[in-house]
Amino acid sequence: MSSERTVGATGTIHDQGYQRYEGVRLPRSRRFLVITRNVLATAWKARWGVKLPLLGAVLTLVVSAGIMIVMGQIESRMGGRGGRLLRADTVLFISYGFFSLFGIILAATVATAAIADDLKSGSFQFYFSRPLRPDDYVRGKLLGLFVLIGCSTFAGPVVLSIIRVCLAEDLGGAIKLLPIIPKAILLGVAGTSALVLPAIGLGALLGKRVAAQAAFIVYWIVISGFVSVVAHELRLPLVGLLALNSDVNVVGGYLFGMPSDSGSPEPWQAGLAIVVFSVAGYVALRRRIRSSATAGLGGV
Amino acid sequence: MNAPVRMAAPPIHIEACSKWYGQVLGIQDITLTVKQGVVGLLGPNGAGKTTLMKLLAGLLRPSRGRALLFGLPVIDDLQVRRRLGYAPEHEGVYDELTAREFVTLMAELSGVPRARARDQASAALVDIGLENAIDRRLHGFSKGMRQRTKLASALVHDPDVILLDEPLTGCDPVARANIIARIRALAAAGKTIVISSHVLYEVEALTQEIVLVHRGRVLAEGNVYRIRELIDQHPHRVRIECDRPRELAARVLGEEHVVRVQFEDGAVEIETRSPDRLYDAIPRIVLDAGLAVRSLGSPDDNMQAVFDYLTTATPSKPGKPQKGGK
Repeated sequence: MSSERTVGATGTIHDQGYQRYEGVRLPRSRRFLVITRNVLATAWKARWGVKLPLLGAVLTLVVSAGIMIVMGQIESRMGGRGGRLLRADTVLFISYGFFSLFGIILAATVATAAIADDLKSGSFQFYFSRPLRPDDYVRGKLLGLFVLIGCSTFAGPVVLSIIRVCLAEDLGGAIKLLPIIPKAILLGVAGTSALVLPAIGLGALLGKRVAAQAAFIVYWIVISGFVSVVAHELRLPLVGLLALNSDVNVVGGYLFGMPSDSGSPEPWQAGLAIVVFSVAGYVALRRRIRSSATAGLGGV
Repeated sequence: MNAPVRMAAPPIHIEACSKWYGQVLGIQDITLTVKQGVVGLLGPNGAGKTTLMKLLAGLLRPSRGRALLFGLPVIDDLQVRRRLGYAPEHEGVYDELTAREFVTLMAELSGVPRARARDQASAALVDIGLENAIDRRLHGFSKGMRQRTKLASALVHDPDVILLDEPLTGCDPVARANIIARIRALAAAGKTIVISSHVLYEVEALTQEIVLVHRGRVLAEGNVYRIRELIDQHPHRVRIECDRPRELAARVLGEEHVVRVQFEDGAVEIETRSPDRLYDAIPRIVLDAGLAVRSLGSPDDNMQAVFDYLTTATPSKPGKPQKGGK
């Protein structure tokens, strides 16, 4: 049996000038942006694992742009003979390998830890005792990570594609080159998703930063490499779909007209594999956050 | 827009709440209403204090029953959480951020616009005595400074209900005094504050209103001294230091309500079933015998005694808690 009880001082309340804040409040629909800003702020302050790869991405961009300019001048001297577009696109595609490498470092450093650290430290208590929905938290974290990792894997190729268009000799040439911008955008979205969502999902699943980072690195470096070799040597393209980096390469190669390997999966298959991995990461993330938000997690 | 205000609804109302963690009981069938002022949530470790706090903070879904803030279910109603400030026991702060940045983040999450959040965060930190560390990273903060930062984050958005889980843990005496003063001021300003602690003198410094939780149930609630009076199975002790304690004891033993006397160095401790009658008798005896009394006090007249009595004795009727009126 429960019994009704009332406690609390019922004496005089002294007026000490307390006034309720009645001003405009940040709409709840935009509250996820606060989480996004926090992801970026803590990442930037915390780790050289963020600053160095970002610096690497900038250097890659500068070097690639320089190569493009030099190539353009050489081609111009050659009188426009021979596959100018192909070579420019080749630079863009090859540079993506570097952007992707820096993206992997960023994902291993920040994305795997994004949820795992909050789970461990008990930050959820601060978040979910406030007017914040689990979905706002998920959106905020994802946007922050997409922006951060996308600085390399999305902005890199897109900016290069824009530079490439700007290097055209005339307006007609620029219009002809315009399709490489949406192609770069597509590659950027695919590559960033392939890094962010599985990494954050892994962190949410394992709940420990070091374990998630180790699993992520082992997957990208060891397992992916092994799977790619096996798929190539045994001519088993469907097995190759398990390697996300090779899936992104297949999609990129298709977009930029690179010759494909006979052991590679079809571009649509690779695209589908990226979607499946990304959705799996998102589902793991969302389920963990929704269950943890009202599970009273208080740190360990 | 503020959350809809239900003036008639109490700030906190828990209705037949139970929470199990699998086979483990967190709290069982608690019904409780808390009004404005400071209330101490007391109990030994593992009693269910933090579970109760988390239910009130909307961080746990009750297995049964409801936890309401201002008449609204805190677990489902996001708007009402804007009126809630919660400082958890665990850390959970971002070491990379400065105190100002962290508290600003918490203010923004509670809906305070960015332009205003920073100023409010600064004010909250100054208010809690961290003005000299406001732009230092939390990484270098002591336990006490972190506690104060958490407290500032719970207060920054000006909530009506404030839940503080072990807020004084790790604080030095100066910080402790600062926090206690701040909590008192908030209570005087009309806030409802629930403080969880297993350190009784901390709570005693703040309030006489307590809820004593033990093994997931409310053992007692209300005014601590009233509760003490209600514990009739435990005789009340009065300690008197005087020049002739044995003579005093001999005279006191004539009173039928006195059940035991015990001598200490220069003092006598008397156990009685009727403290009021004993306090009436002592001046008369002292005057008649011409005793020189150096001090008189009751070791039972504090929370520790109440706490010990209620948690160490086997409750005869666990479903019927002691209730101290006002």
